Amino acid sequence: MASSIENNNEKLTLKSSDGEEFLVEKHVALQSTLLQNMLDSDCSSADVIPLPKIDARTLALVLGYCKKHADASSSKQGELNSFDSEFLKDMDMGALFNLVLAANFMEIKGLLDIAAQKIADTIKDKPHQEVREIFHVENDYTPEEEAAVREENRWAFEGFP
Amino acid sequence: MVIGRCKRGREHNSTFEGKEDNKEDEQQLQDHTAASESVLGCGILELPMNLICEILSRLPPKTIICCKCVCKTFLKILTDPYFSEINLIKAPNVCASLILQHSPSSCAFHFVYMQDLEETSAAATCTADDRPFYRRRISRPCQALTVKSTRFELSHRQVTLVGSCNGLLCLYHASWPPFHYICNPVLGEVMVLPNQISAKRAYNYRSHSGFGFCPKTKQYKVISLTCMQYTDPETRLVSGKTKAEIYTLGTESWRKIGDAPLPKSEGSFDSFLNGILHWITDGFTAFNLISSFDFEMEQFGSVPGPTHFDQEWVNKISWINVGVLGEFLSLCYVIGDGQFDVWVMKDYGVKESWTREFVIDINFYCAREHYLHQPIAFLRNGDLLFIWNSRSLVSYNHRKGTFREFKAFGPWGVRAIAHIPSFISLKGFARGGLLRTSRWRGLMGGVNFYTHM
Repeated sequence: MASSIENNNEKLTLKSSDGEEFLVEKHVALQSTLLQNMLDSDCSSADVIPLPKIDARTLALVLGYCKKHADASSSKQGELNSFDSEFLKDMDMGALFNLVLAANFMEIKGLLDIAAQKIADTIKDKPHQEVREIFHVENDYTPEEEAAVREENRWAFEGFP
Repeated sequence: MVIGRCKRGREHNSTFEGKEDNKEDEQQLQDHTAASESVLGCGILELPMNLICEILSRLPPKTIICCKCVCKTFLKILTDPYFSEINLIKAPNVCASLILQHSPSSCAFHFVYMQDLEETSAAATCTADDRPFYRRRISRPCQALTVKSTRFELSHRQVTLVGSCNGLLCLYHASWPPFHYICNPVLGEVMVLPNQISAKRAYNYRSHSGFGFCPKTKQYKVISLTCMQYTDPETRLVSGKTKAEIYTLGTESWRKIGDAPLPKSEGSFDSFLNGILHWITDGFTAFNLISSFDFEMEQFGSVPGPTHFDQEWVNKISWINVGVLGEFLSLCYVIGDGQFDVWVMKDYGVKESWTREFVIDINFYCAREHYLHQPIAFLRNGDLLFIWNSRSLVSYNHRKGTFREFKAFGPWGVRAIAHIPSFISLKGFARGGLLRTSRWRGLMGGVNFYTHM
């Protein structure tokens, strides 16, 4: 998987931000609108396509997703759904952020949807203090400013400390 | 593609773009220093703004509002019009929600949202093998479903729900002179519309209003139909005309747009489809069944009924209503001695495309037809949601033939409309007339927004 041996019409080579090369079957790569557009616009598949925003660990995950969805396009949706939820199951927040970023850059809508939804689900119905911890966000409000925002939207904070 | 569009074109996104550029620099730096590490840490603010929007827009309204308190960047994102537009696309998938009014004379409204609707759709409360639905105790709502509600009160009684569009709610106050207001209950924003032109006291009149949105021009409009009726004392014949006026949010005054076909009272529910509002024509016949109003062209029209609707058939209909099922115009009616039919128009405007979706045997399930008289909306899973017996929120699953009761209300006379919560602000439309809840409270003597279960 690590390096390209040879290129033919069926395969192309992707290079991660940290220099690792991935040989990918063309029908798998077509899951990405970005790659599809590059291939349509006659960008030679013999070239190595650099993906400067995506590291090897993330790219391996993305390609795993693409392969499953490319191969299973004719099979049952239920099977894909269970693959999707299993795929994201134990992923930490950092990995999910990288995945969202990669899916957005490579324009893989299905992956962007499930990863963004997974992140949203982790903070659903959580008070804002917990959201800060989960997302590693520093509170830059003064206590007075925070109280003012809270007061303006009082109904939403019922039941929260 | 949505994401591609997010990154280009909009002026107020310039800050977003700038942030992304910084991000690229940072990433390149990281590429050099820690090549084998992940590109990002686990701080969400390292993501470009359009992706933070993508994530936060998938949350229920309550969590979104709480997120305003997380940090100043979140507040900026969540109050940006770009966020409200993205959220509007996602919101229908987050939860089914309604605005409920306990009785026509009440000034209290409940904003109800049902988050786990899909998961609990298997939890049937009544099947064909069970006792008929009407004999069940109705004081015990279905516990499997989380019904969360937020209550808000207006200072006036006699307020009618007109319609809901993109999270904005239109209400009609039948005082003298009558007036409309638009509010976004989630943001707590309320604006009062100017008085209508033809608001004159008539001897005997009825009034109907509709609220809609023109996707092309992005304008919100309110239409008001005022029916002036006169009864000839000798012949006792009623004659009358219906005058239409329209108001575009953000403009100064109402405009007259001529005569309109009069709607049958309570002849429609959630019937706004592709920029066109629909209603059953008053005194409908086989040839003049469904009237429509195109909010963009500002023209009245009519939609043909199903092919089997000849005059003989129409005479047998005891109750009829028009609504929207999925992306289709839909007719619900009661025929004969207790058959509730639901039809959809698969190809808009084509008479032959009307197809029967399902039938409810009212005699078995409900005993009396008027118990079913208030459909509210079709849910995403195709279930029909309605107010049963004027006091209880119930859904019907036609595939299984089952009813589920979500919540019982008391006393009688509950009204409801489908409402998708949004973060569309009225600020852009108010001509100095926008009232925040706090100011509203001071001015009018009481709007309270608070939650309860």
